Amino acid sequence: MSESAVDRVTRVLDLVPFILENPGIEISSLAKKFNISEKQVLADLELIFLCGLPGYTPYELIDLTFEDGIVTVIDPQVLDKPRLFNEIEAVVINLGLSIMKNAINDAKKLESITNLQEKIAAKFAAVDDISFTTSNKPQFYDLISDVISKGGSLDLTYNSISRDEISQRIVAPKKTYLAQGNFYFIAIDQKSNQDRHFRMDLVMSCKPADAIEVHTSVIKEDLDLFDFKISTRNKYLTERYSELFTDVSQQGEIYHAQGRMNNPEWLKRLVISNAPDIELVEPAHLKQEIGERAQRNLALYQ
Amino acid sequence: MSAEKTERLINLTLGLLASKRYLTKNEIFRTIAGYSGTPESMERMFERDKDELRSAGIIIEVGGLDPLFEDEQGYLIRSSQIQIQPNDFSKAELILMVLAANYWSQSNLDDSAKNALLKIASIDSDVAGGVDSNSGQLLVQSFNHEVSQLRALINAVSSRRYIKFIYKSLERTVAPIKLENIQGFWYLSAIENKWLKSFKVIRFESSVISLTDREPFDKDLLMKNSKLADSTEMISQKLQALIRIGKCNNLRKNGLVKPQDGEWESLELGFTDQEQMIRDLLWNGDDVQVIAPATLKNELLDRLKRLVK
Repeated sequence: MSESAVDRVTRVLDLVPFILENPGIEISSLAKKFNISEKQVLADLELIFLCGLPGYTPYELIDLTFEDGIVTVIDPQVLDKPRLFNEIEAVVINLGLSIMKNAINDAKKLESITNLQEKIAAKFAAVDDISFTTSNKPQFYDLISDVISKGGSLDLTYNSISRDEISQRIVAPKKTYLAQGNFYFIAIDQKSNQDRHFRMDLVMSCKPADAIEVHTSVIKEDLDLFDFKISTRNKYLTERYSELFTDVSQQGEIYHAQGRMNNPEWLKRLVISNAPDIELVEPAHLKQEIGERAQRNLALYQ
Repeated sequence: MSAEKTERLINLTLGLLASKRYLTKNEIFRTIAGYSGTPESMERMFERDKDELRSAGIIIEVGGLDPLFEDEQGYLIRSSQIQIQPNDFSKAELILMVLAANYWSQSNLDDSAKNALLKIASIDSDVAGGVDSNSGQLLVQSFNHEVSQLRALINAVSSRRYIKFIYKSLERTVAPIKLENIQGFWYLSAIENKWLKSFKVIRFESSVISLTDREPFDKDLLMKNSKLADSTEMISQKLQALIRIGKCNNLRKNGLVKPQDGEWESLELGFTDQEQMIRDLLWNGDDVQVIAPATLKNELLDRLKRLVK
């Protein structure tokens, strides 16, 4: 679909102040930043050359140079400042600030974030009506982020929900992410030399540790194929674990969901805790273990 | 798309932005490059241009030139209404905004975040370039939502426009009040026929259509006259159970644990959501034994029996 005139106008209004603040920028870099082709950047620059203020003499036109693939704005006329954020950009920034506020513990930074959010809300009424809820503030977010940016390792006590055990681990954290309202980090576990995902609110204690030796080739685990039947009554399960499923199809009142994963203990607990809305079809040995576990559970009451 | 039209729209924006006073239509037609033809055709051209610029968020003010002659209208764009001013944000605030926008770099709101970052880089290139988006930076994972749908909902909430969409096989016409992400899912709170309801966005069965032919709604007035739908009474209950020593860590952290014998400890734990409590208990398998309440115990046993079959 061809671009509308007004879309191109807004891009020009963004291009001029951007080049002004980034003099000598390469056309290839502009194309990448603005997600357009280099040919389109050149066409926009040619257009900008023709625009300016009434009178339209060389003194009133926007003046820029572009030679050898490099652009500089000489005179932006009134386009010396970027356009205001639009409503969605303001919402995205504000949601990011809310997430940051729920993650960090630095009191001074928290106050700055609150002040900035108030400033944004004063200009964009909608930001107060669009929110992002996260789980409890993770106690060690600041430390984990700091170790990731500087490089290093952590000695942590972790409450594994899937194994229901508290363990001591030395890990080299690599990156943090937010998924389904929970803060996580990925780290190489010293013991297994494998990538592990840790939920930050389940870290019970955490302190910097001596750097661990990380093998360049982290071992990748084989993933088990699983096959579920899920009742359409509990559509939430297909939504909640959608990233695990490679295929979901519906037959009558049943969803068939397939995927791969490497944590059989978690899989068994998932099936038992959501019974009878979810049933494991494959692997057969896990299905049998689930039955045996339920039997042991029932035996407690007999 | 005609290049002449684009050029005219840019020149009109620049001309109105540079002016210190309202410009009349005649002044615009005389001085802004690109307006030609009969007065009627220039008039039509100008009306279309104004509408298009406004649709892109460029605020064109209309004002009287002379208080004695109200029919003489003029047009002006104020820099403060469309451009970020040098003192709007401090350097520290710009850094916070870069960090906040970078959170979305792997999510489906990435495009809007990138546009915001471009604007920040136009204010202070050092700030934008100084934050390494890969070092220790939190990344928000993509949601299972169509980004165009999210944008439409954000716009609808912000513009207070009625929308329609299909949900549970029914066409709904609602006043969108609030959009909230809870545990990774977006929920729209909206008023449908005076009832305040919550719609899970992932379950929308059509795209969202904004009813631009209807006047924007008055949120406060609608809220005042609305009734809460789907409210479930939450009853506080107390779980009494035995848990194995050293196990059931997800239950014991919120409950009162007392010694029992060499194998078990007693647990008391308040809850309101019985369904969630059953799931939490089943998760712990034979490391927990429910004593009370009886209704909860019976439901749990029923599910275990069905699982064994």
